[in-house]
Amino acid sequence: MSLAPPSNRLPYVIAAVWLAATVSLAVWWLVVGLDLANQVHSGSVLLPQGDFRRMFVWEGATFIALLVAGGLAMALAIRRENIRRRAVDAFFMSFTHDLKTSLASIQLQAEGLHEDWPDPTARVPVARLLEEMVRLQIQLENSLFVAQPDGRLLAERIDVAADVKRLAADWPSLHVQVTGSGQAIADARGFEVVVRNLLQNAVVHGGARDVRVDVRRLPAGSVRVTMADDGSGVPADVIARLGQPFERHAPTSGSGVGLFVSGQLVRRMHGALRFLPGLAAQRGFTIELDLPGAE
Amino acid sequence: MARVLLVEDDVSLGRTLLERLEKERIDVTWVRTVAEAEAALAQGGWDLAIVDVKLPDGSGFGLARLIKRTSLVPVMFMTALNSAENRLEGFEIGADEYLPKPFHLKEFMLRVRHVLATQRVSEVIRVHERAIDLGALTVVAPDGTRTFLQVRDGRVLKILIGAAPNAVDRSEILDQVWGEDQFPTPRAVDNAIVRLRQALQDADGDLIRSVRGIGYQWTAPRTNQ
Repeated sequence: MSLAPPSNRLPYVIAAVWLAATVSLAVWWLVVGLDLANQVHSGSVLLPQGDFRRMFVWEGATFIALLVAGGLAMALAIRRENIRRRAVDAFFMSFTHDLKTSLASIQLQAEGLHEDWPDPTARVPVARLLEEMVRLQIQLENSLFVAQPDGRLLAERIDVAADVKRLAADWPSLHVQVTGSGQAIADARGFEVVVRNLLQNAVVHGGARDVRVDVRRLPAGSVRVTMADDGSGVPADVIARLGQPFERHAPTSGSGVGLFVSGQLVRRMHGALRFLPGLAAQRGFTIELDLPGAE
Repeated sequence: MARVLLVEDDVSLGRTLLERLEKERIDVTWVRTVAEAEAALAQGGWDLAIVDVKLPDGSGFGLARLIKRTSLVPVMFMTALNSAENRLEGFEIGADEYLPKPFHLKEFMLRVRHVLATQRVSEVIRVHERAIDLGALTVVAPDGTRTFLQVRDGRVLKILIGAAPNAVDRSEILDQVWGEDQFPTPRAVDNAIVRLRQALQDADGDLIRSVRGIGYQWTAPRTNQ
């Protein structure tokens, strides 16, 4: 025996009846009004005054009642939607707080173990655990963004090269060489999500060991970050589709959310994200990220 | 030894941070609620407050506002609430650091050390036989007379002492003490300097020198206690 979800067809039926009745009345009044105008113009009013008045009183009252009912229903729906949105926001706040606090606790304890353990070989599993923690954090941030895509972003001054170097420390096995410098205007948290997704993709899906990051200011004033890895690369026909919602270049290549979220965030930060073939023949993958430059 | 107040309601995270900070030879007091934090703050002598935002009996933002209103103790937020609105509120309150959870141990320690190195207030500065206690916001004269400083004046003095021997621009003081969202005139800084000179009995400007066209400069050699 299964429990069926409660039917929510009734509101649609009521809305359809309301719409049909209101539109019918409005059309009827339009027809009557035009006919009446013609009769007045030609001086041949055919309706007796009593019938005419009664018709307008009843139909007018019905029409006003329908409009008031529709307006009230709309106000009620907006209020219910606001309550629901506040409840969802409160849930996300609480959910995020609890999850991130737990993640922080696990991460700090793992890092403590990694630092304190005298035997280097015993540190290897802890290092793996820390890399998985990073993966989990990225998935969490991506999921939160997908769930709340309209969250506000700030326009902050960020030191692009310094931030990339700091974030690259999350993948100790990856050699990230950062050259150049530049300050951009972007949401600091959004920029972190983008860079972490790109580095994570290079490691997990491209199998990259080296990533070269070049940061430079373009003559137009924006800051360009070019990120080239030595991973397995992406076929040219797939590159054009990357960044589309849930697009994966292989059945085993993640959820497809990371690049979509990155693209959306960059767009909202008034930047551009482009995917290009690798610098080396037949290998690697290159990403160009443009952000508004800071004065 | 630096004294740090840690306000974190999560037992596991609080204990881990307590252990790591103590390992770095920092004197830590760990509390879990706003009420406990307020009681601890009343004792004074803190060099840094590390505050979680979502606490069982209130908001860490409210606690930080109280700290900023009544003392010069630097505040570092450590929170899972990392939305633009939350970060904006944190910085509007005047947070010295805003560290989103989860974070790396190294980054946490780096930021704690940075705040302690640049913002520490519990030390007593002895200058011209007077003792300036920025933590307690007092100046004690050689005869024992105690003058209490306003929080804003204390903040101005802290900036000048921290920047010495360089002079500090009036507009920089305005931004740091009054905030970029408020619009007081440079006269507000001049008035604060007048009050500070009175408290320090520095009518000739020997300690706080006026630098024409720029602002003010702390000139006295300092001896920490």
